[in-house]
Amino acid sequence: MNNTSFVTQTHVYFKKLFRISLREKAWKYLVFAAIISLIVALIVGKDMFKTFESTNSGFFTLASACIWIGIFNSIQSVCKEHEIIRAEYRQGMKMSAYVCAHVLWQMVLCLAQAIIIFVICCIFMHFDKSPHLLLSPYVENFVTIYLLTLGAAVLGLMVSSISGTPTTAMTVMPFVLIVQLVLSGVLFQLSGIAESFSYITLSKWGMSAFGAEADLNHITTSAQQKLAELPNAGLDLSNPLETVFYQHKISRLLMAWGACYAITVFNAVVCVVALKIKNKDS
Amino acid sequence: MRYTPAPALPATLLVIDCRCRPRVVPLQGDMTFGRLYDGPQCQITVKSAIVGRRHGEFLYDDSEGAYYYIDNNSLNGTYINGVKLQPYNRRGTRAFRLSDGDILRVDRKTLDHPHPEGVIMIFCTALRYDESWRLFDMGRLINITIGRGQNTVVRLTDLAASREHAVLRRTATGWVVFDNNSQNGVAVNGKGVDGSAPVHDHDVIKIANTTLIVFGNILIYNNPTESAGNLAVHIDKKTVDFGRKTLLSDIHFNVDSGDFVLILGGSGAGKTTLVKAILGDGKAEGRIILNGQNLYENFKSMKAQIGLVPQFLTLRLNDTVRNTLADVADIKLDRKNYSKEEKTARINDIMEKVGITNLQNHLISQLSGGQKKKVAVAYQLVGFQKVFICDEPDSGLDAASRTQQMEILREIAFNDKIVMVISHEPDDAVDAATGQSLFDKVVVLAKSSADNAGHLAFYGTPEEAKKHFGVDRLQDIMLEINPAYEGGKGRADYYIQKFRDAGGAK
Repeated sequence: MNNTSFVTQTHVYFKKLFRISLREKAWKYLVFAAIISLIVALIVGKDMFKTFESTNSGFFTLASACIWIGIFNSIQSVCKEHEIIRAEYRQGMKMSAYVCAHVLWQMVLCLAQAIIIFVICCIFMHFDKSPHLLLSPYVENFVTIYLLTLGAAVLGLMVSSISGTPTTAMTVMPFVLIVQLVLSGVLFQLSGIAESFSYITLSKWGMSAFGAEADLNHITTSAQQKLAELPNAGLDLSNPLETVFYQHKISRLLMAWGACYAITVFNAVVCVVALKIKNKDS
Repeated sequence: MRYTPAPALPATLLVIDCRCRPRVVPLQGDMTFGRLYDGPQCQITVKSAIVGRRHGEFLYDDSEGAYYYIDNNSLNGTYINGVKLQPYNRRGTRAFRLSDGDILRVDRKTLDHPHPEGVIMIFCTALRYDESWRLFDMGRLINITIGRGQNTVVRLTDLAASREHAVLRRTATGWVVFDNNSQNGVAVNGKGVDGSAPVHDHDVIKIANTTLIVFGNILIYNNPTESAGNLAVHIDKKTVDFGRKTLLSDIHFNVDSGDFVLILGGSGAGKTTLVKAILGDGKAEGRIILNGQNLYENFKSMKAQIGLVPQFLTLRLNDTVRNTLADVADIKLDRKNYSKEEKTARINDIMEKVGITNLQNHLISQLSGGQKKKVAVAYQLVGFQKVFICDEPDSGLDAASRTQQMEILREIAFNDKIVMVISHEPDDAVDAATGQSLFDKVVVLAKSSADNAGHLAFYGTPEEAKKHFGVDRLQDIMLEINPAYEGGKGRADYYIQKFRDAGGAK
C-alpha cells in the first residue's frame, strides 16, 4: 500500500490545523502573549540595561515568558486527539507529516506572538541601548524571542505526544516549566549533573543569546556601581557574575541560536517517535 | 432509501487447463470434477494428467445458496488459496465453502514451481460468466503496464487499482512484477509484494480486486467491481500477560462478501478482543485471511482494508463534514492515482449513500449523535476498505435512528463489503417490510468457565441462532449465556459444547 506523500499529507494537516485553529479562536493565544509580555515589560523594562542584575533578571523574565507562552500554545494539541491519531494512522497517515504540520502551524503562531512580544518589549525595554553583534539589537532580540517561543511550543508538542490525556499534559506542564527555570543557571549556580542537564534546556541557551547580544558581562553590577562612586582606585571593578555564556561574540550568539534550533528539532523527532510507539500496533 | 439487492448472479468456474484454452464453466448444482478419459465422464473435465478421473466435487447447498468443494482424496490433492485440503475421512476432505475469487489448484507442493500440467480453477459469483474474464496475449512484449490509466497496456476498470498500478516485466529469468508505488499494493499467490517479485507460470497476481493469472504467454484477468471477497477468521488463541491469561480460544468462522454480521457476547466474552484481532491491532495466534491474503503476514499493506467505526467519535468536531471527508480522501487517495474530480465524485457519492449530503457544510459539533455516526461511517468508506467493523454504531440513539443506522450499514454490506457490528440492541435491526433481521450472520461469543476465555458459542444465520438458543429475540441470547451474577442463566458452557457438537462453524 502506498499512501500520499509526506509533502501532501503535511499540506493537508497544515490546512486542517489552520482551519480548525481559526474556528477554535486561535487569536486568544495572541491576546494572551500580548498580556503576558505587557506585564513583563512594564515591570522589568524601566531597569533594563542599568545594572547587570536588573538586565539579567529582565531577560530571564522575558525568556521565561516566551517559554510559558510557547508551551501553552501546544501542550494540549496532540494529547486531545490521540484516538483520532490512532484511527488516522491506520488509514495511512504519516506521523512525521502530522508532527511537521503541527510544527509549521506553531511556526506561524509563534511568529505572530514573537512580533507582539517584540513590539511591546521595544516600547518598554530600551533595546536601542543594547549593543549588537550581527545586524541590529532589534533583529537579534527578535530572533531570540522567536526561537525561544517556537522551541517551547515544540517542547509542548513533545509533552503532549507523550501524555495520554490533556489532564496529564496539564499536570506535567508546571514541572517542565520549573525544570526550564531552575536549569537556566540564572537563579542558581549549577554544577555536576544539573549543569549537564542544563545544556538541553531552552532557557539556558535563550539567556545565553540575550546575554551575548546585550554584552551582559560588561554591564556593571549595582555593587560595582556603588564602589565606582567611592574614591578608591585600587578596587577591582570587573564583573564578578561574568560568565562564558554571555560573551559578546558572534560565535556565542550563533551557538545559542543553534542550540535552541537543535533542541527544537530534537523535540520534534521525539514527538514522532513517541507517537509511533504509542500506535505501533495500529 | 431501502436497498433492493439485485438477483444473485450464477456461480461460475474459470478453468485453466494446460492443454486447452481457458474456459468459463457455469456451475449448476452438484457437479463432479475430473480428468477426461474413456470411461464415465465427470461434468467438469480437464485434460491434465495430474488430475484424477474423479478428482473432486462441487456441492450446492440449497439452504445457504452456497457452493462447497470436496477433494475425493485424490493423489495430487487440491489447493484452495494456497492451502492443501486435508483428508477428513475415507471419502474425501472436509467440505470447503467457496467464496467469490477462491482459487483452486491441482499442482505439485511447490506452487512457485508449478507442474507443467497444473490446473487452476477460479470460483466466481460476482461476475457474469460470459464477459468476466479476459485474455491478453503478451506476445513478445517486455513491459506490460497494468492499471486504470488510459495509456496502460492492460487497462483495468477496478476503481481500487491505481492509474499505473504495476508493471509486468520480462527478464532473462522470467516475468517479474513491479509495484509502481500503487495505492492498494500487489500480491502474488496471496503474499504482498514489496517493490518487485518474480512471477512464475500459473502464479496468481492480485491487483486491488482484480485477479490476473500468468498462463504461459497469456495473461488472464477479470474486471471486478469493488468487492470484499472472503474473510476467514482462524483464531486459535489470544493471550495476554505473557501467555498466562487466555482471552479468546478456538474462534473459527468465514464471512462472505456482502454479509452483515452481528457480534454478540456478554461482558468479558471477548468481543473487543475479537475485533482487535480481526483489525490486526492485537494480533492473536492464528490467521485472519482476507481475500486469500493473511492479514498478520501482510499487515502493513492490508491494514487499511479493514476499517473500524469506533463507539466513540474520533473526528475533529470543529471541522465541516465535507472538509473532514475531503481531507481523508487526500490522505488515502494519492494525487498521482486519483484526480481531484475523482476524489470529489467519490465524496459526493459516499455522502449520498450515507445520507449526509445536506449536512456537508455543517460543523461536526453541530450534528446529532446519529448524524455523527453516519459521518464516521462515511469517513471509513472514503478509502477502499473491504471490511467494516462497527463498535456499537447504535449506542445512544433512539429506536428509529438505530434502525436507520443499521439499514445504512446493511446497504453498505450489499455493495460487496463485509460489515461486522457489535450491538446490544440487535432486534431493532429488522426489515420494515418483511420483519426479518437485517443481519445475515450472527457470531456469539461466550465465556467458558473452564478457561475463563471467550469461545464461539454460535455462528450462523439469525434464525438458526434463535433456534440454537431457544429464544424468540436475538438479545435474549445474552440472558442464556450471561453468568447468574449478571442476571443471566449462566449456560455459556452448555451452548459452547452444543455448538462444538454440531460441528462448529462450517
